[in-house]
Amino acid sequence: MADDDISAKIEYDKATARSLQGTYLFDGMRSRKNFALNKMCMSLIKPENRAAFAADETAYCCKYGLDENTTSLVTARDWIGMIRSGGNIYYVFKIAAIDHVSMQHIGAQQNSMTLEEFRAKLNSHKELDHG
Amino acid sequence: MAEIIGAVTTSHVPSIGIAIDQGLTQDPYWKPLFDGYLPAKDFVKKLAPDVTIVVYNDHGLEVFLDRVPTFGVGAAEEYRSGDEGWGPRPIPSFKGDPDLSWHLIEHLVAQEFDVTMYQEMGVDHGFSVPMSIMFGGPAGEIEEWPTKVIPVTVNAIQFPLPQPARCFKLGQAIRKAIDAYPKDTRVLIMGTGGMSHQLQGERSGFMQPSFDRMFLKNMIADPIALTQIPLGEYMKGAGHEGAELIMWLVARGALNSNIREVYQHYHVSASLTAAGLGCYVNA
Repeated sequence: MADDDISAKIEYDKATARSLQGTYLFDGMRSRKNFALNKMCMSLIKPENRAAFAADETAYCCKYGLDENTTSLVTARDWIGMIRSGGNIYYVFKIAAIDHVSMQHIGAQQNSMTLEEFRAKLNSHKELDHG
Repeated sequence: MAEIIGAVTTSHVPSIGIAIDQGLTQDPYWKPLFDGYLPAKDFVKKLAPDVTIVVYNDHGLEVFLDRVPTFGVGAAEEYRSGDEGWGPRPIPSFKGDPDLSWHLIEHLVAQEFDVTMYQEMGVDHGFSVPMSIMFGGPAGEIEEWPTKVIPVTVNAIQFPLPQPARCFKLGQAIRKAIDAYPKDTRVLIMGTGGMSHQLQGERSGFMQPSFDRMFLKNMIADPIALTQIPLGEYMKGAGHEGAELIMWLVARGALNSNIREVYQHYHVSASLTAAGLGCYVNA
């Protein structure tokens, strides 16, 4: 493959992702954007860290070097805000697990819908399946 | 001689694991999905694999963004269900086959697949949910796994993901490695993830049955066409997270050009995910 073709291939995938409204391609650029947020979330796979987070969320975020804005997105459970600011859904979801909140709840908030409205949207895909 | 005796491809949604672990499989919401798994359980029971290679992506148990291996192979004696943030799943640990793992690693690297090697690793829902679906009882219950396992990881957490064609070639390389293993071993390969779903952003909740049906059809008819679809088109057609379908291509690459579909199941939806399953043998 010629060098130009490789560049074109990479750009095609990125441009396609950019064209998808409400999609935040989690590539290197985005991963660099808020490494601290994802690192804090990753720490929550340890029960003792979950306890420390629950005891004082702001102090816990501070310990992981989250900036003030990101900390308030975390404490407000502003899921779409966390995603926009560089959160990766799989890491951010670990906060939801502490709250016993499902991915459907996160999806609803990201869509500015109630849980019922979002579930209706999920169910509506059944009708699109024609075998 | 060792032999790939078949392949299973299936979604690996965490809530499917939660439904199993909390005894909810007969709830009206979950029943159609779990009923659809029953013939697939018969398929693997009849195949009776000695070893199951599970191709999956880690979702933040072993992998953080400080280092992201594109491909990896487990070579541990044992793999435990890890704590992803909501506690480990209450299931038995999985027994490995380190001899076959190291054979696989040697043969993959010799074929220029420079995999990360894991001698200690936990496994997440991407691994354990497909195992429960296929080897658990009707409600996913399990006392002891009837097969040894080898985890094969594919990066799907941070782009750039490996190209679809590369994943297919990894499957072909796995096939060559298994064919060259002298010990009589029946090997099942499982490709997990997908089908269409998007979890992140305002596009979350996106699913596209027409894309999934196209994909299921071409798993049999024209897998090469699937390897030629750019990753951007996977994101467009199957969602940002639906790009996990590349792992089905690893399993497909380990089979012959001509295969027979023994069973297929497609269910919309398991939470945010269009859940698909395919059982295949060489024709």
